[in-house]
Amino acid sequence: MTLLECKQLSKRYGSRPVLNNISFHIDGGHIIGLLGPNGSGKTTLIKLICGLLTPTSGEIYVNERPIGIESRKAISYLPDHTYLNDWMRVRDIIDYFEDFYEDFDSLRAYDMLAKLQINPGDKLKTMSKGTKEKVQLILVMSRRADLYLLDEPIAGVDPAARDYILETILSNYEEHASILISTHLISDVENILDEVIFLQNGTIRLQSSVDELRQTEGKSVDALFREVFRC
Amino acid sequence: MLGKLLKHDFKSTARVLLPLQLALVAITILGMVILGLTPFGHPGTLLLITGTMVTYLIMVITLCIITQIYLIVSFYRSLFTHQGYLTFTLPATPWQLLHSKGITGFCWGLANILLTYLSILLLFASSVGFSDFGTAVRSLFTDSLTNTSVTVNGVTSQVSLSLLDLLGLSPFSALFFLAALTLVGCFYSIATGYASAAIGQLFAKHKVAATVITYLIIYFVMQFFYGIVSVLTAIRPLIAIANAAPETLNSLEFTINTMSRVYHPLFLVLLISQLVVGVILYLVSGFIMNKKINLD
Repeated sequence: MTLLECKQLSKRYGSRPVLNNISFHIDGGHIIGLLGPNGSGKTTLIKLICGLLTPTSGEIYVNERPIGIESRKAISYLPDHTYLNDWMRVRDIIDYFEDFYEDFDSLRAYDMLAKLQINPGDKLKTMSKGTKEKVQLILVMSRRADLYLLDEPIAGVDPAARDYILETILSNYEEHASILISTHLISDVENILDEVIFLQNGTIRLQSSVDELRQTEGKSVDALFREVFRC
Repeated sequence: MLGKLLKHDFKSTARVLLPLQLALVAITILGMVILGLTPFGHPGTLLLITGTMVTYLIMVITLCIITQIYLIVSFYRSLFTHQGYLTFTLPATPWQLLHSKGITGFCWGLANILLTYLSILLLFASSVGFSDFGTAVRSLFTDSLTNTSVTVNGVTSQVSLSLLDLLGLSPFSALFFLAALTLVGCFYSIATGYASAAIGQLFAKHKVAATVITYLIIYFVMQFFYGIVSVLTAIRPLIAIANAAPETLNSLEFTINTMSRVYHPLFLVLLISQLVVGVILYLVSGFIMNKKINLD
């Protein structure tokens, strides 16, 4: 079954087009890299799928249903900003997620917190930006969702923590689920990607499986990205 | 889902609003102690009583304003800033989100205003003495408060009026209007604030400024409307007074009848207009949250 389908999707901010007539679909069980330079429309696309933006035209379906309650149940979203209340303690946020998401596994969340040495009793306002991002990632990956949308999941953390985060992502998603990762740090994520989508100026420049790409182009995704998007 | 949303919205807002309401309780107790210990009618205590009352009023009004502003800011922040990334991705409909914020805001607004009423009554009771409080309240509504000289067509008459006579209301009508205006006023106030925030976030830049300007526009349009209604409702009673025979001006029945023709329609228009405009603004907020959401 098609997990995510975007049909002729466009988004304009005033007179400025950000996404232009995009169509693609994603099946279950894949890790897809959403790659493109700054301003190519990666974050806009993810927000449209989450229902945080209203498309100018086009349609989006998750599990063959339009954006709504069912799609929100199926999607676990990690934004590129901190979206949690600073006054809350980590424990309160876990309770919050447990209340709203039936697929949230609090034991998994506490286990990851312990591995990253984050105290559940700490308030978010006492934490560094990187630690907050780790907490958000833990919350998002502690859900057993169908589709994970991760917008720049490793941009704000140190290289040492990146490996753990990528390992966390890999070891915490169900086989039927898919992960769409938007990032600039291609070399860090390349090894875990099954597919890539290259976005340029709001259009899809390329969509391919990573193996196919390596065979036909004879290059790594990182090298190809640098070639395609050379300034 | 609505129950879960309400639980977390009350928990989140209580963090700030509960201490604010407790501050109102503390101010009331302090006022009661000062007024209870200060003898009335003594020239030396006049300044203390006046000072206490003025400080009390400023603090109560400030707490009411802070409560309202906090509710609107909290609505705006949780939906239209980065926190909205979490709120709008919860498995809830935008209407459920709005209803939860609406019920939470209404309850806090109502609690604040009821606490303010209670505070005023307690302060009044402590100043006249609790034993005489019942008598004092009864006398406020039944006894003559004023002896007014009315001159019409060169004839001067004395008219004695109580508070309710002045408003042309029976005790039942007065209580009905007070309860209805309180409930509708709380809803209207929340609906106006939320709609202003929802409209303000539609702007590409200066969203907070757009929210404040939207709120002020709604406020001034409604004030202008009330001004026109006040003038229109006063015209017919004024004509009736001008045309009345001099001896009827002495009649209490005439006075009550005339005043009720001013305040009854005025209160009714206020009530209905706030309810209608409140519902429209609430629906506008819901429409924007459903169809026009654009979180940058």
